[in-house]
Amino acid sequence: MQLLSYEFVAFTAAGLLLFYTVGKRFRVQWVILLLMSLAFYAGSGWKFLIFPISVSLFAWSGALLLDRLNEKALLIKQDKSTDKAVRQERTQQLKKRKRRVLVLVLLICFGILAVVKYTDFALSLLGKLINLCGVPGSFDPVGFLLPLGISYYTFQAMGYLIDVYRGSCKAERSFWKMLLFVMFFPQMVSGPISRYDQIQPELIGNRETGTRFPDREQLFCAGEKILMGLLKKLVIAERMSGPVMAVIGTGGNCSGTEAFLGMIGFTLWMYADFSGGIDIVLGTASLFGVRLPENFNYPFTAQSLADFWTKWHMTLMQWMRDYVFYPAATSKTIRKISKSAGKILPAGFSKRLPAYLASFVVWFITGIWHGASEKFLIWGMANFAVMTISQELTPLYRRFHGKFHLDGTKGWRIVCMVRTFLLFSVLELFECYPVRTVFSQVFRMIAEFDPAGIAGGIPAFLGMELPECILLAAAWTLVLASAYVHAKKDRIRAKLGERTILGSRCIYLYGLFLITLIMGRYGQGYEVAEFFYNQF
Amino acid sequence: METNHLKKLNQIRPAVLLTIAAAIPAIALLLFLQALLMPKYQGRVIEGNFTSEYYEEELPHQLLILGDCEAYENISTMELWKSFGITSYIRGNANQLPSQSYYLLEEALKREKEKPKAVLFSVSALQETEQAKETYNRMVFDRMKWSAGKWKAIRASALPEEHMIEYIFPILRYHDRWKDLEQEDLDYLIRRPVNAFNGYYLRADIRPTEDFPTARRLADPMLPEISMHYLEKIRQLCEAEGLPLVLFKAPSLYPVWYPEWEAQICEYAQNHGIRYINCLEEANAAGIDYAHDTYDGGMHMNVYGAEKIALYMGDILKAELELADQRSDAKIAQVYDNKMSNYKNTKAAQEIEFAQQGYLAQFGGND
Repeated sequence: MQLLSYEFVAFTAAGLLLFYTVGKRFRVQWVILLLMSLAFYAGSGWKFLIFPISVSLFAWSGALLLDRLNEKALLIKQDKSTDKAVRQERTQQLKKRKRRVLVLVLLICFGILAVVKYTDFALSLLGKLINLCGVPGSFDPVGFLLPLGISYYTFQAMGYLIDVYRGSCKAERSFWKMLLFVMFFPQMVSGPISRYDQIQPELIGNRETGTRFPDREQLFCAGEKILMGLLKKLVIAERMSGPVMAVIGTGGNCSGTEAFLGMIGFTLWMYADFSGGIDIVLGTASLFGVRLPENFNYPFTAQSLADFWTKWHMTLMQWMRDYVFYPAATSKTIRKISKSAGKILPAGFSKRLPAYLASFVVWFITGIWHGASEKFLIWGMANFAVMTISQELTPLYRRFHGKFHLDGTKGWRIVCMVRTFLLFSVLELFECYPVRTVFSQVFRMIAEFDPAGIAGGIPAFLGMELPECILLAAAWTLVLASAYVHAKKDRIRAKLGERTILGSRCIYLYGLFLITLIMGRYGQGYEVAEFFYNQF
Repeated sequence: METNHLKKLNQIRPAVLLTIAAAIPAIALLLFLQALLMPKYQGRVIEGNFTSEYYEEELPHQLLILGDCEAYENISTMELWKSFGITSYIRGNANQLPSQSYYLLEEALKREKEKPKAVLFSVSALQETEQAKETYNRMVFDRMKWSAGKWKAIRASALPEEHMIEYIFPILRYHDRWKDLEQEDLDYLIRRPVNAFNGYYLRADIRPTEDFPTARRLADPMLPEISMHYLEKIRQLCEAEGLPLVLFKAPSLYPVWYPEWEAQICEYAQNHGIRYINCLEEANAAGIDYAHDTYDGGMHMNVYGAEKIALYMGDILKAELELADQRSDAKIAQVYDNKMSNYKNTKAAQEIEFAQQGYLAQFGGND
């Protein structure tokens, strides 16, 4: 069942009815959600249910074991009657046992992910390696079908396991509630990646009252999220995908202007597609009283690439930060490496080395998470390289700002925003083309840079009649305006009365609905593409 | 406690009233946009209105004719009236499937002010297993009045990519026409003129018969089961209503009407005591001249051919089904005199245009 389908709308409507009637009456709302999630997933093939159920089972049982070990560790710590040395030794043993449990479950669950997602990639790499050694031949791909959302729910489940390991949350006693956390249907297909302790209370619901039907404000917010998501996907992304993919499809055989427009178009299209899908997911979840975490925070306002990655696909990057970066940066292995490196490298650099090595690991994993191919790996490494170099150039930036006093000015903020946008867009080219082609594309863009040509070439690039070009521009304006209003909502609320706001919001939502209804690219003659991030 | 209840009601009443007051214009705007975006079928393709034009009829009909273009292009209902006083209506649409014919007949039998005397069914559509294009289904159903029959008819013929919700809310289907809106979308927003003549599609242009591709060998000599299933349903419905059913094959030269199908229909007709008139075989007897009586090289009759078929069939139907001559009924005659006047004017106008230009502009030229 696709997120953008009449079936999904009917499914959600029927689910909401059951949720707020039968579910609330008998305090089984979470059961309704679980059944809905199982049914939703089974729609992609009931045999694939084995994957999320297995991951949930391993995470649940591993977490229960870890929880028990945590409790034991606490008892040992609190037991003042035993000798301190004995307590320390027992604690160490428990730590080792905990680590073994954690590592085992991580290996099993990530192993499942690795096998289904990366077997063919590994075989192709192995084949290339063997060819390099002069041995001809290749390995036939196994061709595993990628289970829906496996990258997302595996990371989500393992994040929960690590949280229990760290003692930052208690293990869920009920396997079915755990399964619901892993399989909660709105977020299964393309995230966001949630944290157990954040969404558990809302997912399971209030014991006394159950989850209440959303109030007016919540309905408005949910409606706006869903409608804005539909606008981004059906009005903007579906219009842009054709021209963008056409340029990418040339494999680099295009003019500098086309390459530039294709590059910018790809970034904008990806934002509209991905954030549109996330908006629909968040809006749908909130109708069931579950607030999922945001995945985007106005990424195109970012001042640097590092800043950008705190605003784009936030839940994945936060997961990487909390479960990869910090453990890696503070690990004994990396500290040892830094210490050894400090003997030959400058002192300042060797101090930053742990962070760089951890960042390398993060971007390696982020790269291959996005796809089982060299291009995603290279994309990840390219991001790492740019951010590391940028970090190393910090003293230079300081000297520059010291001289020219531009830092903090509005103009410089805009320059940084544009620079970051272009940098991100250039790096995204690694996802589209081989490395050599990326560099040739960039050189061509610079060599043939012609602002007038670019501006004039937009209609031809889009391949649309003037009314549709205007519509696209208007839709983007609406997205920007909505973002602006959200950013200034407290000020606006203070200025206007409640009645005016209520009326304006109704008109705004109705307007969004009409624009999407009439100008969305769906229905006969269109095949709405799956959300770009569904493939991960 | 009652006071609390009343207090609550008084508190929510303004909100409820405000919601209703806001909902009315919102729904009205949606309905307006839907009406604006739905195609009006006033240009080259007028068949899209055929289903709804039937609802304009004020008088009952003695003869109901069902089928696809071989029905609505090959029998002149006005000739049936003029020469025999037979009131008839063709409930036909482009590529109308047997299932659709069944449900349109079912609807017509409920709507007719007096029970008809006979049903005539064109057998050519029996060769179709499923609908060729979604557009044809839309032309049949978009303006059909909602009923259990319409729901079943849609379910029976919908293609995999079609959704019932798009029939319930046609704006979901036609929203994309915002780019292609024309003047006629505003002109015919509320009412559309009746273009057919009791369901008959008038063409006065001429294109003589040409060669057609050689008939391909049939993989399966039998007519599709699903089609025969609906033919049987039509027969049973007629039997239940006490209506004689007559099957007929138009004198269209293409698509090919295979001997195997002919044999199957003959056998079916014989087994159920049904009259079957094959105007393709009896084209000579009907006086059909394929150099003059067709507008598209022999696939469909023009008005000259359709009138000849009406004359030929009318003789048979009047004699065998005892259809009364209604020309003596003043009320019916008055209505049909107006129709005849329109018919003659339209025919004359098309004849003049064809004589001058060699084609009819409304139908996209002589193709």
